[in-house]
Amino acid sequence: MNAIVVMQNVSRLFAENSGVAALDGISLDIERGEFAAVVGPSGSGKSTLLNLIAGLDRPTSGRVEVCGIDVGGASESALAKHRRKGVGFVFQFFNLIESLTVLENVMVPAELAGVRRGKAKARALEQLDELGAAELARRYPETLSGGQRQRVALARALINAPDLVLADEPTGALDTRSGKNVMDLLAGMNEAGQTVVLVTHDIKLAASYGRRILTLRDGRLADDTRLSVQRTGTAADLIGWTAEGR
Amino acid sequence: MNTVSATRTMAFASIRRHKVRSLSILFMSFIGAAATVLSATLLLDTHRPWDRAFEDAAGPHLVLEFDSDLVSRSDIEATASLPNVAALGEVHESVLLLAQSGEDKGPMQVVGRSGPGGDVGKLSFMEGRWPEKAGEIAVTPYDGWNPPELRLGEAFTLPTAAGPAEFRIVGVLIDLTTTSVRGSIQRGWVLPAEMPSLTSASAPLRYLAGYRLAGDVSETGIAAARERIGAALVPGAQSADPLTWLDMRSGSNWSVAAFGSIIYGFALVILTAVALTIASVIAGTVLAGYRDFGVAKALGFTPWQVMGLLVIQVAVPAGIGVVLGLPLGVLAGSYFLGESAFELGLPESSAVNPPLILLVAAGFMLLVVAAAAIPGLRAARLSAASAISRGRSPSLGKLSRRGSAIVRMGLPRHLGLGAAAVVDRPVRAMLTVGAVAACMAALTFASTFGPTMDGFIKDRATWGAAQDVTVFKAPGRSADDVQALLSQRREIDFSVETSVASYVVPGQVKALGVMGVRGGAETMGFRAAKGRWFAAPGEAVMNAFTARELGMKLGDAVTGTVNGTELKLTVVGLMNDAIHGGFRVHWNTLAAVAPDAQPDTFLLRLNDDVNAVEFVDSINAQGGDLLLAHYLGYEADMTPIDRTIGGLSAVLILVAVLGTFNTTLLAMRERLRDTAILKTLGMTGAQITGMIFTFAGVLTLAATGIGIPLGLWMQDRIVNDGIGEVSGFVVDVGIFDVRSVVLIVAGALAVTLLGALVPARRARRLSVAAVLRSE
Amino acid sequence: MSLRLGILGLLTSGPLHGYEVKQQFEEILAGTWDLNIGSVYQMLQRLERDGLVQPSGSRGDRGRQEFVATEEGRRLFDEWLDNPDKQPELLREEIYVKVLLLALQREPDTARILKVLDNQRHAYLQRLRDLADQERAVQGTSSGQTGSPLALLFQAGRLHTEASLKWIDACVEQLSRN
Repeated sequence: MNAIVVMQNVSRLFAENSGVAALDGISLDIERGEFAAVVGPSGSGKSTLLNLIAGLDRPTSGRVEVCGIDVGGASESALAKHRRKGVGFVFQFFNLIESLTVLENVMVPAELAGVRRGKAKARALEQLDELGAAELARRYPETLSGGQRQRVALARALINAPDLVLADEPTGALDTRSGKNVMDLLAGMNEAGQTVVLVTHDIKLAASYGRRILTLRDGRLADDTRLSVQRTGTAADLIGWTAEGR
Repeated sequence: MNTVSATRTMAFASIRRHKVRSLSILFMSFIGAAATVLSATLLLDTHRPWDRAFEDAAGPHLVLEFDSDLVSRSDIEATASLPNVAALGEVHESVLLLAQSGEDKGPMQVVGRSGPGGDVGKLSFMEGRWPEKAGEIAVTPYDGWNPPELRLGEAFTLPTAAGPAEFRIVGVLIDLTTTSVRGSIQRGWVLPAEMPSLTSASAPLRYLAGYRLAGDVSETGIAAARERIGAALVPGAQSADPLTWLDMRSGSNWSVAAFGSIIYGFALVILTAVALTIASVIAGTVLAGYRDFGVAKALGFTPWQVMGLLVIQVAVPAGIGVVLGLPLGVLAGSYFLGESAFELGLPESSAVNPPLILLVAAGFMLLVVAAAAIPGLRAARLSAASAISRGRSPSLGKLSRRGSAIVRMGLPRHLGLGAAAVVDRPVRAMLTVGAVAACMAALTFASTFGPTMDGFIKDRATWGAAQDVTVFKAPGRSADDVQALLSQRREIDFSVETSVASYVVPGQVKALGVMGVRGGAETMGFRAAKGRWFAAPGEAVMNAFTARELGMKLGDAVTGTVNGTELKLTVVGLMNDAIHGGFRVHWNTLAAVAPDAQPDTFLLRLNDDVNAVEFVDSINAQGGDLLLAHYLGYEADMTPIDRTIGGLSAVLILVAVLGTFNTTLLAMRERLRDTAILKTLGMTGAQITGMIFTFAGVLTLAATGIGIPLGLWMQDRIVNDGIGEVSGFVVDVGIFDVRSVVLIVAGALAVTLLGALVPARRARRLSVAAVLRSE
Repeated sequence: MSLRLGILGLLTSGPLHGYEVKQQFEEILAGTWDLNIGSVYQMLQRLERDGLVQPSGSRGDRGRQEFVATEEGRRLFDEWLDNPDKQPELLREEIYVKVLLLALQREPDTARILKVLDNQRHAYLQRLRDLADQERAVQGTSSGQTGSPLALLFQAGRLHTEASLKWIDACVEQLSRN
């Protein structure tokens, strides 16, 4: 088994002593190289699930294992390390640090991981270049468009070559075109072998890019579908123009 | 709902919502108001304290002593009607006796008085009560110097016609007329009925009269009054030199100046620190609340109403804090007033001064409102949208970005972010740094003052007491006899002999003294604090206080007369002379105008292995009433002033910690988002802590960088200029030892650590999800 | 119906050979459609019979005859363009009927309905994927770009599918509550 994320009967209550569960009895595996999408309406527990995978939160019960780390039992510093090297984040609102330049922003995870400044800088430039954002290096996030910022965020997420990229509504604050660019970048990374977990309320987005659709409803895993490459139908089918020309 | 109540409702809702902020303001105001009341009380108290005490006691401008054989009491009382005499106090009988307690003996002026009150020259109690029957006596406090050492409850003997009579001390009082430039005298009060038994041929009765004058109370005015009084009575009726209030004031100058200036300085610093801290806390709070104003504006509040919102949000918690803090300030004030009164040797004044308290409260609230209103004006003028967006994250101008980049250089990223956060809000940072700097300055002063004053006090030579033992020849006895006795004692290494003559300087009402010094004074350790010891004839080392009073300085010359013979002296050195109020000259200089001068005091340096106390006892026993030996065991008790400084320093550290804490907390809250992002990216708790400590550390470092030099400057000013200016003290400042450095560094670290602890803890426990999702 | 109007529409811009008509359609649909040339000619004949198109240029070899829209044809086309689709929303998907039938049973088998809905949901998800894949493929060819008419078409497809998915979610929620 090549599973990066293993969840066994995981529950997470909203507050320690409340009876209300944000997640209830979730069991799932996500394998290396997958592009998994987690969908569901707001309040379905998507963010909680994300936080557990990221090691930002611990389960109330059940086992969450990510990249070999038991999230429930690991120490705070082990989790911090996991967040540095094991996971790369992309957020809806970019969450770049305004007082640092683009380059410095991308360098942060590397520096936190103890990489020397010079080396971190080189790596960051490389990463930006790969995403076609190298010319933005000296600028400040304030001056960038949404699409540019998300690209920087993506570079930041990738700099430590994480096992997993977590994208939380990455296109939510972007126009259609920028959003498509970012998703295409993610798809490209996935094709190159990067495991991606997308969290979104937009089912269209999820199914367009994800191969595995995990549907959450009221904290439970309501559905787990694997999509194949079928390519049934053509554009013409859409508008009802069959080969017969009816 | 009308606009006023809408504003009020929203304001109160805001206060409730931002509990931490409101509590913080409340607490700061509480401490601040207490500290301000304390400082104001102390400032007032140390501002011309002696003058106030003098007026409170209806002190006499002129004290005269009359020979009871030549004038009667009623004669003296008649002088009360002379022009310029505002009041004449009760005329008391007095006699100079030798008080003895064990082997310890010393002169005491015993006065018959029925009670401590009166029209002129009221006395105030330090402890105990007034004598109620025979055998009871009330005394002035032991000055730590002149024998015998007397304390409440102890007994000693006074010679009476029927032999030594025991008197028990039932009260200790402060009498402003007992301390003057001539030194302090030990005075004891008994019931008037006891006086006859204490009077004898060798202890003649005198009359003491204290006059309060109207009109000109300067040296000349007093001289004129004295002339008139003298003219109204039999010539020669005055049996001693007159004592003026100016003499008294100068005499207490050194303690008043020394300790008064210190407390004054501290009080000022506390006020400054509190003002700056409050300003920074409040300004910071306003800046942090931009988003709320934007929302308020969006809801339709006008700029004025927004201002009103702001002011209410700040003023209500502050007001509560002030109301709670005032009583604490009064309590603290009373405590410190008690301490300082002890130091100043003055009666304790009441700490509860309602007008002062109201003024402080009003001033404090004014400061709070101003600190809120000024940034508030800016907030009020912003449009709703810009206020909300500004509130979301601090917008960085080009300048602060560059400053940020500079500060970050070289530091690991997370620490750098902490350091950069200081630059983000320059005004708030400056206010906080200012407040902490003021505190650090005072702490520097406090920690260096001790060693400085210690060293100064220990340097007895510069204030005229380089010897181990002083032997006073009894009046009327032969100096040769004393010399003969002393020459036999092998314990003595060598001695210096002195003789004092009266030196009348034209234009000066009072006579100064000129002391001829024979023997190896410089070998013994005597030296001038400024200038040099005398060498050639006509050179003199002058008492620095007196020099100050007469407006004389190094190099000046003065010509006076000794027994009518002219003597010109040139001042070559100044001494902080606590023993002698005039000039010290070479024996030959004095002998030139007073050839018959005989030594009246012998200053002894003992051999190393000699027990000085035993020696003194033995010499006194051997000498009988030929001489009186006294051991210079005086060690200044710095404990009270150390305690005072320690207490005030604690207040300062508290203010500094609060200032740092508040600024750090506010900064942390503003950067909540960034902190959450960094946490997501894998910043560990330790790194977060490091970031926040760096922030607090940079602030404290900057403050220390300003504060320490400031503190040293303060010390220079207060000790050298302050005390020196006022009293003529000449002090060599600059003792900065390892212990002080350690204390200051420790203080700075404490400020950083304590101020950053709670914010760091909060940052570590931050719930990331909540912050990152909501925008 | 729409093919008829589609060809008419093409011919309002200018004369075209039958072969060109086929080519243009295939271009629009980015080569995803292989239109039968016979069908084109058939449709052209019908249009000519109805007076909506006329031959243009010399009548000659059938294969090379150009056709163009007539006045009448143009008018009809414009009218068709200007008139909004007045037909009621036809829910063509069979799922609606399935659910209706199952729900109207005397004792509805909730588990069965849910299973049916679940299956359909999977199919819809797959459809979304397919649409995305198709669009990507189309973009690979020279004529594809976002914002082109074809992209809009795919968007329509996705939105419709999303709507259907939402409906399924609503059904499931309703059923779970009962």
